[in-house]
Amino acid sequence: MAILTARQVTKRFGGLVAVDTLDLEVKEQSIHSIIGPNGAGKTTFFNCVTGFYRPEEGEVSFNSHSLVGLLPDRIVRLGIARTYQNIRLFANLTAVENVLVGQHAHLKTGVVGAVLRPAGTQREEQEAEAEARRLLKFVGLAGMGDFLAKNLPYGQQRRLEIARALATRPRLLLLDEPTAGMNPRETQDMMDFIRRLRDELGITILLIEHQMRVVMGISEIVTVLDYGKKIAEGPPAEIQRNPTVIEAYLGRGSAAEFTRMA
Amino acid sequence: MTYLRLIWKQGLQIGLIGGVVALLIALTGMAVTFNQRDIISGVVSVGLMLMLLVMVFAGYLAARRTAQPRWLVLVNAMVAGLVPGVLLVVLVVVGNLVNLRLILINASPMLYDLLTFKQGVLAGSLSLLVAGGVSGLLAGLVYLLPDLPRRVLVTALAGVILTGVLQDLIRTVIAAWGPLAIINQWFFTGTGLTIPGAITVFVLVAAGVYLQAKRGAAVQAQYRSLRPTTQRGLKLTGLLLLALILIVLPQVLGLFLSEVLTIVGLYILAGLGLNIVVGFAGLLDLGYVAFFAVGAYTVAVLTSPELGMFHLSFWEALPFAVTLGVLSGVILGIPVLKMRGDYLAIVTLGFGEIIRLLVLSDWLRPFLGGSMGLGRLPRAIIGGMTIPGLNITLPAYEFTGPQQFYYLILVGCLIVGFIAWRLRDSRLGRAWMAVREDEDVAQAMGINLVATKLLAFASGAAFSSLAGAIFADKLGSVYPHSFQLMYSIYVLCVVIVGGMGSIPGVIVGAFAVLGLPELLREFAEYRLLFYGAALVVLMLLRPEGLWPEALRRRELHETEEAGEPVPEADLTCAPAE
Amino acid sequence: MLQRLRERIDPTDVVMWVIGALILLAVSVGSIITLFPSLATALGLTVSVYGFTDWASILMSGLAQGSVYALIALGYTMVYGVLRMINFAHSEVFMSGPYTAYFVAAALYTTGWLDSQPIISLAIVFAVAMIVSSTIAVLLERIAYRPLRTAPRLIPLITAIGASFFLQYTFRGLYGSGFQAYPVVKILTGQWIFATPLGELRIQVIQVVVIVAAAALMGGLYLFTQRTRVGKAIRAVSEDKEAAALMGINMDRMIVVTFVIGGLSAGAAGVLYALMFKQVHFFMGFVPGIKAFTAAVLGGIGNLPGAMLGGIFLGLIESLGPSLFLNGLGIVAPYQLKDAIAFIMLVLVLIFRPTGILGERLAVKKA
Repeated sequence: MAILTARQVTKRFGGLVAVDTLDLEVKEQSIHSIIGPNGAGKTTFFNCVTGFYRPEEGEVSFNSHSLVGLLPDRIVRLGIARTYQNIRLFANLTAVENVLVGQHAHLKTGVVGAVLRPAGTQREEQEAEAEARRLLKFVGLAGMGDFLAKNLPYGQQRRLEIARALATRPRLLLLDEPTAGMNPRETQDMMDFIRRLRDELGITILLIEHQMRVVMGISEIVTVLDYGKKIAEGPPAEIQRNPTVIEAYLGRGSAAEFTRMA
Repeated sequence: MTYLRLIWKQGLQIGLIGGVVALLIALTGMAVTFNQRDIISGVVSVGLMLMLLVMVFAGYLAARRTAQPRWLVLVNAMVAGLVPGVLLVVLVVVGNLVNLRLILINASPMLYDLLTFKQGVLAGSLSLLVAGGVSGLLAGLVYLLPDLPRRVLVTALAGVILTGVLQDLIRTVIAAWGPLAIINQWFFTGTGLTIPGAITVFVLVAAGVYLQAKRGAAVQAQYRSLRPTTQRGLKLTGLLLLALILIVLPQVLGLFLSEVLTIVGLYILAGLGLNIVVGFAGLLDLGYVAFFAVGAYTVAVLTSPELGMFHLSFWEALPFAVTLGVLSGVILGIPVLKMRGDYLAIVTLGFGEIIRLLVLSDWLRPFLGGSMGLGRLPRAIIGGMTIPGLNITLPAYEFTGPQQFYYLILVGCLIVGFIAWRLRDSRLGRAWMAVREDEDVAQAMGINLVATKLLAFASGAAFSSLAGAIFADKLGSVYPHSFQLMYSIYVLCVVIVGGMGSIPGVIVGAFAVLGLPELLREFAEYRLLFYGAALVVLMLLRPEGLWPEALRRRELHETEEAGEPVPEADLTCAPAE
Repeated sequence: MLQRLRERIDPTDVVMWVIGALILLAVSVGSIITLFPSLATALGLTVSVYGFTDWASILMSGLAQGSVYALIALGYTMVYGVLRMINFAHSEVFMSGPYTAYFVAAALYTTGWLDSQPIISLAIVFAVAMIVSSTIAVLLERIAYRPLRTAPRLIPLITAIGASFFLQYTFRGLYGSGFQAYPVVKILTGQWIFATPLGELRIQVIQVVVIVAAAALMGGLYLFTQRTRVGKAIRAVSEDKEAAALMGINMDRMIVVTFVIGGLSAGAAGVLYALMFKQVHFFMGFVPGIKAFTAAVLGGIGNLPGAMLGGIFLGLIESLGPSLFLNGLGIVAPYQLKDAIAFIMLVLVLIFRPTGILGERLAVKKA
């Protein structure tokens, strides 16, 4: 029941090995977190999954469909969407337009249809706009549709990014540090929202996170990376007590201290 | 900070910049060239006005930077106006001692005459200094005025200057209206506005601004309170009036101005195309002239009797021209698909140059006419066919001159404008804009970069080759020298000045960039200097151009949807439907 | 498996490879025919035949021009290294120096100094040109580029284009639109003739001077960037702006220094160009500018030795091209397409090896 399988994925940049023989399995409809110190290769791995990078070695498959070598626009049509560590919205487009772009893969109008606007195209556009506004409402941005993305406050931009990702109708959603820069209340809302995504929409969530309370709070499985290698994997409670993990985050010697304190 | 330092920072610095600008205007010959035309006959010429304006602007900017206290504003403004005067005096004095003309060819006696108000070195220099100081001071005073009087004054003055600058256009238009031509005699002499005429313009504009300020809001409210059907009726009447004017325009304006309109029209066509490539898709294509050439040469090759290979009419050649244009758009687009920004610009520039060199070469002379080009192209004709069964010959309408081509170009603009408008608000348009904003993420949204970019190039090429085809027919010939890099730059200016991605902006841009030099012959020599400066200034101060669209759209919507407050972190609101 | 293949290889890549192969084929065929004229008659083409002397002078002129391109390319590559933008107006930086120095040179000529004290006179001319070029470069940076450092990439590019035309036409307004003939410096005229077993070898004095001067300047510049503190700081800024700032390097000042150096080398290149081609005019910067940019990209943009290499390479190809392969293909008056060769080279490099011969040290971050 693994929706995403990565086997021995390796990504190198010149002499630097960013991701090192990584094996990962994400179970369908689970909430799976990837954690690790900065530079551990988490975002690089995301990039390998979504087609931004091509791993030197290894296999990534989604529902037994191989992803390696596919272009990003093919991969998204298979049902994988993502958000970005540094928000990458279409700054000079409105919120609605951002979400409409997300629907691109599911709309059919081409050049001819755009110019002639037959009834089919008009209907499609109307439905798309309705869906876009619905998605905006779902993420809590009702009524903000016609503001330029760059003018939205930070928290709303993050939500817009998720709305846009949802517009692609994904089965698997990759969230890259969704709670970065949020205060505790916003973080709690985001956690509840992520759970809703899985519970109500049946979307599998794979997230990169730094805030331990989010990781521990909503994940079912946690994978820990350090220097591109997987150093631990398991349910949150186990990971919390794993000395190798503690060492990776806090440095050698802290493991003993920590276990003494725990 | 001591007041001396303040004066340096806020007054002198701006004054120096203004001074350099004034010197450049003088030494590049602009002052003298513009001197030929008077704004107010016998009183002030455009050239002189330009210099004074520099001092006034310097003074105004200095005043704005100072802001307070009042007396410092005036001092800085005066200083800022004075410095250009000082620099010009230095020029005059040095120029009279040393023959600067050996190096700076425009440092001529005429320049010195202009600068010294024809009063000789000593008296002239003093006058210059006084003019500078007074201009600056006045600018400072204007800055200190309250809002409404300031707006009235500035707009009225601008109106007078504009009327003087555009006198040819205004005179011609009024002269065409028979009995109303008398107005011309009141307002204008051969070279400029009359004094009573200038005063009248000033008063009229001032009154207009004043009324708009006082009553404008009320009138708008009245309009809004009308029933929607009445509103629509008014809009429709407005559109009909516009259409009527457009149809009648070439007859009213005469030959020369119709020619100007056709040039502007062709650039609107081309601009709409480049607007898609640069404005929507964010691909800076500097080789746009290549497609213009393809369109023009296709028509030439297919219709030219000199070449004798094909004997098609213009209408038969037109679809080939556009199709070849689209193909060349795709062909030239493929190599640059993976390039970004700067590289894309230079490579497309290279393509444009390659096409020009090929077209000019002796190697391809047997097919393309070489440096002599191809001539004697048959003009387009509508009708003139004989219906076989009924033995009736339809009347022929031949496009001979600008007044006829105007209609062809007008129809072309309307069609292309319509297509561009539809494309912008479509899935494809959104895809283009996504690619412009962030190519990688756009791809991650399912947008096929190859197809999207090639479609942008193809559309742009289609419009440009259409313009080229009409251009070839209008001119009756094609010469390689018509297809230089300059064309690409002109079209780029049209798009940028009007506003990247804005369709009405293209129209504004075309009139500004192409129309003005035609109306101001003297200006034409310094075209590219102004265009270059305009690009730099626009990018620094107003990158969205003169008539940006998104702004208006968003502003409109903001008022509509402003009512609904949204709780900040309410992610757990109503469940999905 | 075919589908996997199709998913990996872009159809557009195929098109590009086909075009590249065709060009390579044409070049090879043309060269072979030129070098073996009997083939030409067999194919019924009219082809000019060149001897050893001709090839030698073609090579020399290619080297000389290439050296000039290399000097200009330095400016492009250094600015790209620190600002990641192409200084489109660098071609006007190149033009402004020699054009202004023209008047100095003309004055020196009329007073006879140019011939009586050639070294000093030339030094003065070079100095004036280099100072003027640097000043224009610094003004460009201050007024047009600095305020837009954080703007999206398209904006500074358009500003650069605007500045380029503005400068061209300002100089046209100031100095006139004519072609000004550079005075002839007696010691630079003439040529050396060597008799070799292969034929006569004719080398023009001015070409040697250009090559040597350019080499000296490039050598000096290379030492500057490798050995001096400022040079190293500039290299640091091109590698990683943020890290350099964290190390206490003053970004603004380094950028200004970069523009100054670029201006100096462009001004010197301008004088050399003017001495070789014996004229200056306001539009002279445009074509050499594009070619120098091509050279910079050829060698690997951001890479100094690369720019120098690229310049020489481009000069040679451009010089050899018409005679070697265009001629062999039976093209009439091939020298008309000389500039086209440079443009085609640019396109080919950017398509097939965008990192250039010596490679670009910049990694592309996608997300």
